[in-house]
Amino acid sequence: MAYINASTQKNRVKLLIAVYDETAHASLSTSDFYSAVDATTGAITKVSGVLEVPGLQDITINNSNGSFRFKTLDQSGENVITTNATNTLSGNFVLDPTTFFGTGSGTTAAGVGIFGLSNSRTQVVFMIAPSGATAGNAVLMGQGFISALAPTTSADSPIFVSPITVEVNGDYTKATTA
Amino acid sequence: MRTPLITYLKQQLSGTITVSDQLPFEDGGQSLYLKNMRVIYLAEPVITQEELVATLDATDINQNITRVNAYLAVDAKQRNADLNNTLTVLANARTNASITNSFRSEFNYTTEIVDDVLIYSFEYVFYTL
Repeated sequence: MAYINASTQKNRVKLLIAVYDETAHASLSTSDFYSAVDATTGAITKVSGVLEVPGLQDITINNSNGSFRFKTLDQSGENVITTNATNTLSGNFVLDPTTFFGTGSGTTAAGVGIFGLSNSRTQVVFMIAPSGATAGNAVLMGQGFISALAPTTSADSPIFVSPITVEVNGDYTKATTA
Repeated sequence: MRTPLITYLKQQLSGTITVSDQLPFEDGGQSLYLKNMRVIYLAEPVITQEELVATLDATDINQNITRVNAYLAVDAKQRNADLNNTLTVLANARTNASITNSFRSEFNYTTEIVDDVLIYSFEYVFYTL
C-alpha cells in the first residue's frame, strides 16, 4: 500500500494563503500560489503577497458531509442521502511574528498577516499540499475565512502556539502539481 | 551560566564558606573540594539540546538545557555556622544570578557523608531557547 509521505524534506506539508480576488481567483490553480518548486528541497518560490503558514504542528483536512435520514415502511433499515459538506482546515502552529502580524507592507496576505486576515474577516484562497508541492503531488485548494485563532503561552512554555481554522467556503479543488 | 553564578555567589558569601573560580578537578587523586573544604567549586556547564515543539516543516523549536554542577565539602561532625545561609544563597542564585535568557531554572542538591566529611552536590539546570 502506498501512503502520503509528509516526513522528508521535499514532502513537508505546506499551507499557502492569499487574499481572495474575485477576478484572479475565478478558477484556482497552483500558479496562484507559487511559481517554482525546488525538486530536491521542496522549497517553493511564492507568488508575491502569498503567505506560507510556518511552524505547523498538525493539520486536519475536514470534509464532513451532512446527511438526511428517512424511513420507509417497506424497509427495515433507514435510508440516507448526503447533504452539503462542511469543509474546514484546522491545525496548530507556532507563532512567527512576521507571518502572524504581517510585514506591514500592503494589503496582501503576507502584508497583513494571519491575525490581520482573521481580524478583518478577509476572504482568502488557500492551497494545502499534504505531501509537498514537488511534481506529481496532489494538492487541495479553495476559498475560505481564517478563524479560531487563540494564541496561547504559559509559564512552562516560552513560545506562543495557536490553533487555526480555515472555514472553507464551498468545495475543495484538487489539482496535481506540475 | 557558570560565570554569572560564581559572580553572584562571590557577592553574597562573606562568611567561612567561599566560592572558587577553579574547576573541581582532582589533585593527587583527591577532588579539590575535599582538599579545600568549605570552598564551593562549580564544574564546567554541560549543554544538551532537546526538541521543545515539533513542527511539520524544518523549523522545530529547540531548547538548550544547561546543567552546572557544584560541590561543597564541610565537616560532618561540627555543623558549619553559616551553612544555612550558604544553602539559601546557593538556592537564590538560581533566580538572582544574572542569567537573563533562561525561561525556566531548577536547583537541587544531594548530600553524602564520607568518613567525617559531608559532601554537598548541587545541580543548577537552566532552560533557554
